[in-house]
Amino acid sequence: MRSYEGRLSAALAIALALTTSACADGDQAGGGSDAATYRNVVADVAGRTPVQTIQVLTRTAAEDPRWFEQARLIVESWQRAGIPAELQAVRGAEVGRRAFMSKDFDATLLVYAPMADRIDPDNILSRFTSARAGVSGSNISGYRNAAYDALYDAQQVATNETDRVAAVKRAQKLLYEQQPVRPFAYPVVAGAYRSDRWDGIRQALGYPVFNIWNSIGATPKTGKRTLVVGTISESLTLNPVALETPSAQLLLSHIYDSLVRIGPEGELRDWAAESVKVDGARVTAKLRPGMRFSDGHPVTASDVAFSVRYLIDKKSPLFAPKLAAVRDVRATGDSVEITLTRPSQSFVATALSQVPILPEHIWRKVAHPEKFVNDNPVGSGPFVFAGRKLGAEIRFTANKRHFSAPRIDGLVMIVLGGFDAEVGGLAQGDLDMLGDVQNVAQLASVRGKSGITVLSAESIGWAGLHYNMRKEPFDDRHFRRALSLLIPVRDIIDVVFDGQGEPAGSPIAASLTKWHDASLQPFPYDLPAAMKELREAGYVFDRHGVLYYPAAREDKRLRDNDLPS
Amino acid sequence: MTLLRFSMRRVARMAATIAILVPLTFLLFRAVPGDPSAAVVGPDLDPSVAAMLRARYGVDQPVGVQFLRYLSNLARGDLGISFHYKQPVGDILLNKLFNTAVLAVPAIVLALVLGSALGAFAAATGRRRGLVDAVLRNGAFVGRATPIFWTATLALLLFSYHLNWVPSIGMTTPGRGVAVTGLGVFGSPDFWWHLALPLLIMTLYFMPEPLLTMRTSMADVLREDFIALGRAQGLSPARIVYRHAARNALLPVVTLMPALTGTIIGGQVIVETIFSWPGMGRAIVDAVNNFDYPMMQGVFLLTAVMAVAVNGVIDVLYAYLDPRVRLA
Amino acid sequence: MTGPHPPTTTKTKRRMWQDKVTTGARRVGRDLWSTPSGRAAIAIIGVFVLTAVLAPAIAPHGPLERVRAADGALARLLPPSPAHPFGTTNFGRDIFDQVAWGTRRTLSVAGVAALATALIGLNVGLVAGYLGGKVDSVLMRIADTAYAIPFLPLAIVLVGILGRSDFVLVLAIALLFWRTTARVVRAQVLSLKERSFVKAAVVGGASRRRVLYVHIAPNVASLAILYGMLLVAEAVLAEAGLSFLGLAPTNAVSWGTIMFDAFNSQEMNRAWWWPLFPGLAIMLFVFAVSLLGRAHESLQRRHLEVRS
Repeated sequence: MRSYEGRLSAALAIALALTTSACADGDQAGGGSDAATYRNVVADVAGRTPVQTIQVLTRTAAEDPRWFEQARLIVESWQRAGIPAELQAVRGAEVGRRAFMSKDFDATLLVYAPMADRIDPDNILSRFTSARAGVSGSNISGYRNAAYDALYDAQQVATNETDRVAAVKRAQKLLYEQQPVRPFAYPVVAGAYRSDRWDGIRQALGYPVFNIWNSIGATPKTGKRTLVVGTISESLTLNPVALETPSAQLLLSHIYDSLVRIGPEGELRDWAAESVKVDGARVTAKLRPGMRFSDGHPVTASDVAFSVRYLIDKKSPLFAPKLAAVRDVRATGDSVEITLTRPSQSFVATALSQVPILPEHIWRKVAHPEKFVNDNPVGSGPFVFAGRKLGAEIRFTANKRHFSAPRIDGLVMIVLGGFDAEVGGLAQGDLDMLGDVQNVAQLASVRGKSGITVLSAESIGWAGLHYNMRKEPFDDRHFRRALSLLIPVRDIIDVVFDGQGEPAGSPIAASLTKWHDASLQPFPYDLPAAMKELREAGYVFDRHGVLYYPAAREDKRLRDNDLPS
Repeated sequence: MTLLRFSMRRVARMAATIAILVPLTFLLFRAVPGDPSAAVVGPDLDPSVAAMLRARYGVDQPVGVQFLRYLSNLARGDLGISFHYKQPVGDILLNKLFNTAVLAVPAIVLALVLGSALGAFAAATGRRRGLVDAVLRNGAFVGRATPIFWTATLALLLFSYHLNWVPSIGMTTPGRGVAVTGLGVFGSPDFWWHLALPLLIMTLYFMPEPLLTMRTSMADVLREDFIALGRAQGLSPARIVYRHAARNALLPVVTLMPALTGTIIGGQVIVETIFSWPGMGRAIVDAVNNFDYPMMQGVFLLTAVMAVAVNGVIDVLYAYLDPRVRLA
Repeated sequence: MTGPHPPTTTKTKRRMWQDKVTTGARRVGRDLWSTPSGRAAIAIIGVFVLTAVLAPAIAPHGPLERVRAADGALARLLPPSPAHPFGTTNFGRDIFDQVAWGTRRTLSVAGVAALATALIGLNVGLVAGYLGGKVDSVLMRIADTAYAIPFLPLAIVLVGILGRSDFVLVLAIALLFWRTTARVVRAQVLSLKERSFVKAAVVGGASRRRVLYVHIAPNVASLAILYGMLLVAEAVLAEAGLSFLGLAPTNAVSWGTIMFDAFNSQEMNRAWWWPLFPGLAIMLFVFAVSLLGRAHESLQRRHLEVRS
């Protein structure tokens, strides 16, 4: 008996010892000999300030394991090179607050999704203008450069496309050289559908499979005439004025028409407008005749003018910012004339392709649209709302009188708990199509499965890292370039994207062939070059591998922000 | 103490608990650093609208003002409008509560009935240290040791993805015209087909507690004098066990209900997430992720009120069944 | 209230007190070992503790290392094989190594949480049971509230306020789970305080604190130790639940986080082995602890039967 007791107390003692011992992380070997050879090491660092630990802002692994793993790979790589860094994993809402609202971060990972309005380069380029560098602006890097602002304006006021392309290319080259942001990968995104049941699905730019073109074009091969689409992000409201999430906008665009739409190849297509003319700051659209709302009322130019005014007046979160440049809008006959505060080449593509045409006779009576549930939306689009079960499904029937009528009878969106379930539902046959776009690696289980077709395309968005140029040491171009050269692009694409992505250079994605500057090579991973950047600016390491700011006499740092904040 | 007085005191205590829970839930959620407008601002929504959104949500005002408004709305039965769904929280909750109930209620009933029956069975055979008892008892302990997200996940992988026996998602097959509402869903074979796996998982998850409780209490009852008396009077063993002993042994199982509430809520959250079931459990997770204060308050208030109410009813029921309790 | 005692007396008393507690612990151990299920439980728990201690030796990759094959290819989603007995994850991590390191973390967090919880429960139970009256009813009302608050939501809020850390995991568990221990200890104290040796101490002029902690506490120690052990299992499940909701600290690897990663990767339908093994570990460990509880229960019953 005695010995048993002894053993038990030994076990208890071990358990107790364990509880007190801190859990050791698998610590990476910091500062390998490889990195050390290229370092600028000095013996005497008296009077210098060490570079503080860089916090890399990312979502938690809980919310998005891929975001988190990308940030982890970056931090590990910087640490190996001797640059002090750590992960700052917070919830998505907190990333949004720090990056977009309070601008309280060092460097933040961001993924720009392949939204259709990103097909125009303005969506990305406007995010680096000094006008938006304030606390509530979308220029999260805080880049304030006069030369860049001039190029941005030039592409906006360009009177022909050649000039605009030239200005866009020069602007992206400047961003490439000065690195306020480091786009590192263009992921290959994909969707999938049941090709044993459906014909007429074509791959499109942006969302490759689920988009308005395929909803209209889908042709039944079997007796099943309702297209069932899965989604993990429920469209929460069918009220376009209260709408906040662009993913819901995709669904609303089935119910509501817009003057133009962005076509499957990224081209602008006239839609509810028969023609659109841009003349400096004046945009004139001529309405297509014979359109009707689902309640039978005809669609008039006055409905269009009302919609634009209403969305601005009622401060629609999603559309009012896109319409910020509108000075005046008026309807005459079957035409709508929109006057902008200044010429804009991107207004039609980024605003008019998105803004829904609302029936004036209904919304005129809604004084507080933010409190209006709009549980029976009336629009003129190719689909008519038929009902919804919150958290479960939304049903549409086809608008057979539409000028571009769908070939199917109806469309159902099913809300799912996760993408895994969505892919499983497609494999099982519960779903006909995936409504979400994901990295193609996540579709591996259904690729090549009979009856299922996966369509993939390089994203028009990208994954990248924004530096906060409002802060030291990110105000220095050399330092930013050094960090950018140390991002392990190949590893990220291999580990996180399962090899399905391309290394990036320019913030205008390579798939936007018209705007992308192909002469800008993907930024490489290059340790010696990174160390050279640090050396040139005057940063030094001490013998223990600690990184210091340049001393005053040898400070060669380059500040690209030449405009006052 | 009369049963009426006991009940009144119990109701007063329930009201007091709820009075504590209302401000507690409100303040706890506001204490979480974060901002509902930040949940939507990002690469696809211009940050310039954040201030407007905060005003629209009413979170730009001092917490005290927000709380008073919440209380006055609550007094009128208005739970507010969800930031996220842009719809009255009450309507959403009602809808989700129904979806949860059609899964949870059958699971709880099945677990209680099957669990007690098996527990009684195990106890009745237990005296002979039978194999049945060992299997049931150990099965229950293994069941209690198993996290529900694990069983649910593995069951989904096996029965749905690999064997393709049951659908993986939702409550009904979409697009097949099954649009039964209300309790009519129980008449739809399609619904049962969807219900089968989550119901099985939930039932197995809830079952160990009633089984073990019934087993213990049954064993205790079987030792009592009146059983021996019955036996002496020549009643058949089965009659003794299932008619006389079981009725007395059920009491502790009834009291188990309050303790099960936490288990049920936790299990429901996980099962609804894994099986894409559009109920309250998923609403909790979504509300927290989206900083949807009105939804969070609504969900938690409803949950707490239900938990407190169940406890109260069980207490009164117990007092009715066993008058000694009233003296305590 | 407590007058100064001569040092020698204090020392002797302390030794007596310690003796009583260690005797209690030994009795629990000896009793448990005397039953087959108790022996099985101790053996299983022993294996887990050993795994936790030896993790660096038996799991050379570390929990977060991405494993590559000889040709440099990432070991992505490989099924179990001699090289990777539990398979690998989508980012090329060895699941066996993760489970081994996860054992270390899971047991540490659960152990500390159980210790903290048992201490709170013990003290609340002692004070409530001994003092009775207003103090008792207030403490027991708090215990009722602890039963009414659902664990996961509370934990979510705590993590929201204080951030994700081991401390918060322990706090969330300790804040609620003391309730059962407190009730059991209180019941025991209620019967103990009527015993003659306690009455004698009171009559002898011992302070309340002294009676409580010197005379009564050692007698409930064995009970508290047993409930402490059962709490380890509850804490393991709670930690797994929290980790499954993604509330574990950054870079932490526990049984719960591994399963969470599997679910969260959205690639689980290609990798049955990923959630399987960490779940088995949880099941086995918690089952082993519940075996201890059963062994204790059957012993009590045996004592009762002997007495009657």
